[in-house]
Amino acid sequence: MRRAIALNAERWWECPSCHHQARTIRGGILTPMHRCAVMAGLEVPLVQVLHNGGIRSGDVRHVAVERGDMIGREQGVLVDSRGRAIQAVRTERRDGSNDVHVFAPVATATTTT
Amino acid sequence: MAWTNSKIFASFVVATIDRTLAFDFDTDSTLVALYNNSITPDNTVSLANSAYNVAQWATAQEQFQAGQWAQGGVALASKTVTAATTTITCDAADTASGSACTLSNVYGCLVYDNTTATKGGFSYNFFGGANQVTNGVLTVVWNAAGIFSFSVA
Repeated sequence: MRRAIALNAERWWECPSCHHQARTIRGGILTPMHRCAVMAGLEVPLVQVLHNGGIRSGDVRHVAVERGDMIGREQGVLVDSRGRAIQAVRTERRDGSNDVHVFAPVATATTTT
Repeated sequence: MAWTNSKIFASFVVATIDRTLAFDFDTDSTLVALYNNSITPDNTVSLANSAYNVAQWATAQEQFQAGQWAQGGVALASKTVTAATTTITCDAADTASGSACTLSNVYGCLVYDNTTATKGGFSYNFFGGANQVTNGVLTVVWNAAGIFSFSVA
């Protein structure tokens, strides 16, 4: 007997900082991001949740990591709405594990004639 | 000394112009290898010394975890090379590890052409300081202006 298998790729996401929710129906491994007012306008990753389930307070949090070195002539260093240079956002979980999104500056070259 | 900035290798530009090495960013296998802070990158080194596992880019300084962020690097996906007026931009989708990655002291990366025998570098990108991930996903979010870009204005 042949069976039809329904592949439901629908996933629900929530921002641990502002609790904005989103739904995706595409595959892929990358976590969706959103610009979060609570995180000073940074693009931060959402966290997958059960259907409209939400995140329990204190289970997950975002931590913005300020750039540790001078900016110098670097191009594309991320600066939040408070004027801080941000090198990464960590998504920390209660069990001690974490994800990290590292914001890479762009390497540039200029030609002269 | 350590590294403090992001640069395009001069040898990549020279090799592209004089065909010393057939770099092909968007067709070849282009890998992203992670490094600690015990290196002092220099974008004026020879083509040989811009390569993966040579000089500053030796595996002794590489940060990796088998099955998560492989030694040698993770391949760039959805690569593009675009020219908009006077700016040429090389970009790709954000690059992510496996879901159970544990790494520390990740300061930056080498972006190199793994298809060529030399494995010459395109660029190195400095992440601004130490980064760590514990049993999770490390994602390199490439800048809106690309991984590397040229201005011919």
